[in-house]
Amino acid sequence: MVKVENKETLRLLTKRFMKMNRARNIIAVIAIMLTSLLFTSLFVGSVSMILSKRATEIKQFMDSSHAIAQNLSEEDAERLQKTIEQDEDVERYGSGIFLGAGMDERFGFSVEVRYADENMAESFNCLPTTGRLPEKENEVAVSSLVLEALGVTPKIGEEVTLTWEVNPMLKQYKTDTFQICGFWQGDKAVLGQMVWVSEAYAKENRYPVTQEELENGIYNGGKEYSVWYKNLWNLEKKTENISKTAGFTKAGTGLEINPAYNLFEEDSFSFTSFIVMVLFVILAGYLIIYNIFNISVKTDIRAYGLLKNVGTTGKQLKKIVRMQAWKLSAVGIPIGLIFGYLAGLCMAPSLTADAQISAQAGKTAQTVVSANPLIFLAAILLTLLTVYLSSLQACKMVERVSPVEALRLAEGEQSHRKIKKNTSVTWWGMAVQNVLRNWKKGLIVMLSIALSMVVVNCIVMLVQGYDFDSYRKVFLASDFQLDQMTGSLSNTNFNGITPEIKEILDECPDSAKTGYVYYSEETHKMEPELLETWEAFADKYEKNWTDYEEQVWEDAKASNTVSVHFLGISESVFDKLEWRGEKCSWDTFKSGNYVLVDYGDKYAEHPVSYYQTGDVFQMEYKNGNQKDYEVIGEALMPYALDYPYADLIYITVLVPEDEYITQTGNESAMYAAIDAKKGEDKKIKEYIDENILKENDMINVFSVLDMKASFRRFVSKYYMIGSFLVVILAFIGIMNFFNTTATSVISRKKELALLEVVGMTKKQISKMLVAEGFLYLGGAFMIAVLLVVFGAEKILANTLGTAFFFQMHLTIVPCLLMVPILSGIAYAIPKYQFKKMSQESVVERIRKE
Amino acid sequence: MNILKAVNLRKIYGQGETEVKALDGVNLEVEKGEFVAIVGTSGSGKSTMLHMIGGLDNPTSGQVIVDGQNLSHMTDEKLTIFRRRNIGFVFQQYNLVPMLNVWENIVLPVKLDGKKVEKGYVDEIIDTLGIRTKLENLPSALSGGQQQRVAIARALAAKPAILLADEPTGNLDSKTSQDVLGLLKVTSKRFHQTIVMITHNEEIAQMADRILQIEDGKIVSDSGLV
Repeated sequence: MVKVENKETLRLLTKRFMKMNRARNIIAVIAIMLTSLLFTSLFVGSVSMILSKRATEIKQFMDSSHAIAQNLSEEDAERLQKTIEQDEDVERYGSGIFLGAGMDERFGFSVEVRYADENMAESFNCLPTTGRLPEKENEVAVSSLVLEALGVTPKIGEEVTLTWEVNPMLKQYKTDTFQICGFWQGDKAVLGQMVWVSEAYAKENRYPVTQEELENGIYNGGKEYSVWYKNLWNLEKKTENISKTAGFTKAGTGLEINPAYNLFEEDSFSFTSFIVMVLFVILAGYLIIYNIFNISVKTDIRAYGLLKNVGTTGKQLKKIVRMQAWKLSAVGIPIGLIFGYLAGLCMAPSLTADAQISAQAGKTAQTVVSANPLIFLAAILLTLLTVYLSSLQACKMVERVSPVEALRLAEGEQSHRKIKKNTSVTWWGMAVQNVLRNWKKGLIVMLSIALSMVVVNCIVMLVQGYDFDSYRKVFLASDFQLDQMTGSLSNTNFNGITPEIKEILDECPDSAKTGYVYYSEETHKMEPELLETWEAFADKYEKNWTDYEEQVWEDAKASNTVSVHFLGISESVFDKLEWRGEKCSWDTFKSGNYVLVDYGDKYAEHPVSYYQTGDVFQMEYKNGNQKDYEVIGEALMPYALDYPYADLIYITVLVPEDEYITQTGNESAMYAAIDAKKGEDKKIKEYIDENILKENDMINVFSVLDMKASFRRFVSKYYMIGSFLVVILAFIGIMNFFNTTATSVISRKKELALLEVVGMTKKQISKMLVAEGFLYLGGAFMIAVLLVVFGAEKILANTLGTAFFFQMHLTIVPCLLMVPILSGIAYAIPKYQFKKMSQESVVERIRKE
Repeated sequence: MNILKAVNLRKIYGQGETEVKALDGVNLEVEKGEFVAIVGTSGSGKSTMLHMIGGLDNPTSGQVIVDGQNLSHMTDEKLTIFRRRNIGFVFQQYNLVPMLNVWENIVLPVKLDGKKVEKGYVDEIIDTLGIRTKLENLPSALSGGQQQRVAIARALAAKPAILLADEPTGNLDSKTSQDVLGLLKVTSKRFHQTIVMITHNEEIAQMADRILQIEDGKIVSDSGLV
C-alpha cells in the first residue's frame, strides 16, 4: 500500500473537531485527569506504604540486609558460607554468632550479646559511632542504653562488667569484665540492645550448640549470616537457590529473605488487592471517558459521515478520534499526575501508620514518600491505556459510519417501534412507556448508578464498623495501666509497681478507682482430680508439643506439681472479672479465706474447670506458709491484666490484695490499673508523666488516650482510602447519570420535535423528560437498597469486616444522601438540554436530523 | 470510451412480503465527457442508482465498473480511497464539512489523498464558480447557492473520473438553479468532465446531453440510444 502523506489534513480536522466540542473537552479533561490522579495516588500510596513498611521493619527488627540465615550449627554454617561466597548474585555478606541474652536486673529491656563482623553489625544498624568493633578478647562495643542502665560512662577504655546467659535450659551464665572499644546511641524502639564482643571471645565462650538443640529453640552459640545482593530483583528465587545449593531442604531453614523486602507478602496489602485496585481505576475511568466519547461521536456522526463521503477512510476517521483522545490526555494527565502526587503525599502518613494499634505512646513507624519516575510513568501508561480502551467503541462507530447513512441521517434506532394500543398520552404516562420501551438500556443505566451507590454505602459501612470499645476491651482493662514488664520473660520485672509508686497513684485526685494486680509464681501438689484434668488435656494436644513442652509435662507428672500463677487483686480489679456461674461478693472474698480459680486456658482457648466451687484448695507457699482456702467461684482474669507470657502446665489462682501481701510479704504489684473520673483522662496522664515517669522512665504506661490516638491512626487509613473512593465513585455515578440524561434528550431530537409538531407543549415535553430521569433514579435507588440490604452486609461481614473489633451497622443513609444530588441532575439536565434544543425551530430540527 | 458501465444492477431491500426492489436489472454505459441526466419520480430508484455508481452503497447483485475498475470487488477501505480519487459528489444538501472553511472544504479530498493541491487548476475552478471572496468563510455563513458552488468546486478539485450530482438544485430557487446548472454545463465542457445528474425535474434535465428515465427500478427510456 502506498503510504499517504495526509497527517496535516487529519491534524486540521482533529483541531476543528476539538473546537466544535469545547464543553466535551472540559468534561473529558476532568475525567482523564481524575483517572491519572487515581493511578498516581494509588501508586504513590502503595509504594510509600511498602517503602515505609520496609523502613519500619528494618529499624524495628534490626535487619537491613536482603536475606538472613540464623541459628546455624557449625557444619551448616560452613556449607552455607561456601555457597554464599561462590554465588554470583551476592554483593557482600556478614557473619556473626549469637552468644546469649544479657542478664541484669537494671536493664528493663532485651540485651543480646553477640559477635558480628562489620557487615553484620551494619545490618543490625548498630555500628559504633564512636570507636570501633572489638578486636581483642577483652573488648566490647555497646549500645549507650546498656551503659546507661549499668551506670557506666560511655567512654572508650572504660571498664564494664557484663553477665550473659550461656544456655537458658542449663541455667548457665558467664560474667566478664570488658574494656569499651566503641558505642553508639541506642534506640528504645527496637527489639533489643546489642553488645558486640570479639570473634576470639565468642569462639572461646559460645555454647557448642547442636542441630537438635537449635531445633528445640536453644539458639545460644548459633551462627548467623546476612546477605546483600547486587540488585533487588527476584530476591526470593536467589535466596531459595542459595539455600538449596547449600543443602537446606526444609522450609524455614537456611537462608531466608528479609521480610522487609518481601514487598507483596504483607497481608494488609497483597499483590492481588493492588491489581484489583488498578482494575477498579481502569473501570472507573472507562465508565466516564467511554460515555463522553460515545456521546460526542454520536452528536458529530453527521460530520464524520460527510468526511467519509468525500473520501476520508474509516482508518483516517478513527485516527481523528484517537488524536482527539490523545490531545485531551496531554492536558488531563499532567494535571492528574500533580494532584495525584499531592493526594498521595497527604495520604501517606495515615497509610503508613502503625498497622498495630497500641496503647503505648511512641512509635517506630517511618514514613517514606516515593517520587520515583517509574510511578509516574506507570500512571501515564495506565491512564493512556484506559483512554485507549474507552475510545475503542467511539472509534469503531466512526470507522463504520456509512456514507449513505450520513446523507439520510435519520436516527434509525427509534424508528422501528411497536405501538401499543392503549397508549397513554399524559406526560408521565409517556415517560413510563419510554422507560419501559428501552428497558434494557434503562436497566444498565440504573445498575451503573446503583452500583456506585452500593459501593459508596459499603465503604461508609466499613469505615463506621470499626469499633473502639470492642477493641479496647481486649487490650486495656482500665483507662490506664502501668507495669515494668518487657517483651521477654527472661528480663521482665513482675514487681515494677513499688509501694512508692502505689502511693503516688493512690493520691491522684482525678482517678475514680485504682487497683493492683500482684503476681508470684508458686507451685501446687496436684489432687487426683486435677491430674486427671491435665491428662485429658495432654491427650488432646500432646501431638503438637515440642520436646521442651513435652519435658515440662513429664516433669509436672513426675513431681505431681503444677505451677501456680498466684495473683493478688484489689477490689476494682475484682469488679472487672468475668464470671462463670455465680458472682461472689467482694466483702466475702476479701476475708482472706477464699480463692478464685481462673477458668481460662491460653493454650487451647477453651474454658477448663480445674476446681468446683466449694472445693478446698491447699496452698503451699514458697516461704513455707501453708493455708487451706475454699474455692468461692470461677472467674476469668481480663486478658490485659493477666500474666502476659506463654506457659503450659499451670493454673491461675486469685486472692484478695491484703491476703496476698500477708502471705507473700510482697508489696510490689505487677500491674496498676487506674480508671479516670469522667473526662479527666488527660489530667491523669499529666499526673503520671509528672510524678512517675520523670523519676522512672522504665515504667510502661498504657493509656486509653494513646490507644485512642493509635486506633484513630489505624482507622484513618480506612477513612482516607474510603472517602477517596467515595468521592470518586459518587462522581462517577453522577457523571454517568448526567451523561445518560443528556444523551437521552440529544439522541431524540427529532422524536421530540415531532411530538411538538403533533401538539405536545414544550412544558409537557419538558415534564416528560424530567419524569423519565426520576424513573431511572428511583429504579437505581431501589436496586441499590436491595443490594445493600440483601447482599452487601453478608459480603462485607465475610471479607473486609472480619476483624474482631468490627461491628456491622446496616445503613442506607449514604444512598439517601446521594439522592438529592442525583435528583437535582435528573431535574436540571433534561430541562436545560431541551431548552437549548428548543432554540432551533421545530421545522429546523425535523429537517436537519 | 466508456468511463462508466453498470451491468445488471439489482438492489433489494427487505425480505419476503416486505421485499422492495429499488433497482431491478439496470444496464448503463456512459462515455467520457458526457453530461447525463437521470430522471424519475420519487421512489423510482434513481438515488439508489447514484449511490451504487458512486460506491456509497453495495448492490445486491450486478457490477459497477468505473474507469475500468470493478467496484464490487473492493473492500470498504479501498472503496473509500477509490471514491475520493475518482468520484466527485454534489448533493442536494450540499454536505459541506461544517467546521472547515470554504478553501479547506474544496481541497479536502486532494489533501486526504496526500497529494499537493494544483493551485492553478483549483484557482481556475474557484474563479469559474465565482466564490473567490468566500474562501475564508465557514459553510454556515454562505447562502444555499454559494454552498452548492463550493460543493461543485470540491467535487471537481480531485479531478474525478465522474461527477455525480444528486438533485443539485433541489434546495435552490429557480434563478440560482439556472446559475448552478449553467456552471455544471460549463464545467463539463471546459474540464471535459463526465457528469451524471439526478433530478425529478424534466426542465432541468433538458440541460443535459442525454436523458435516462427510470421507473420502478428499471430504465424505461434513454435519449442517447435513439
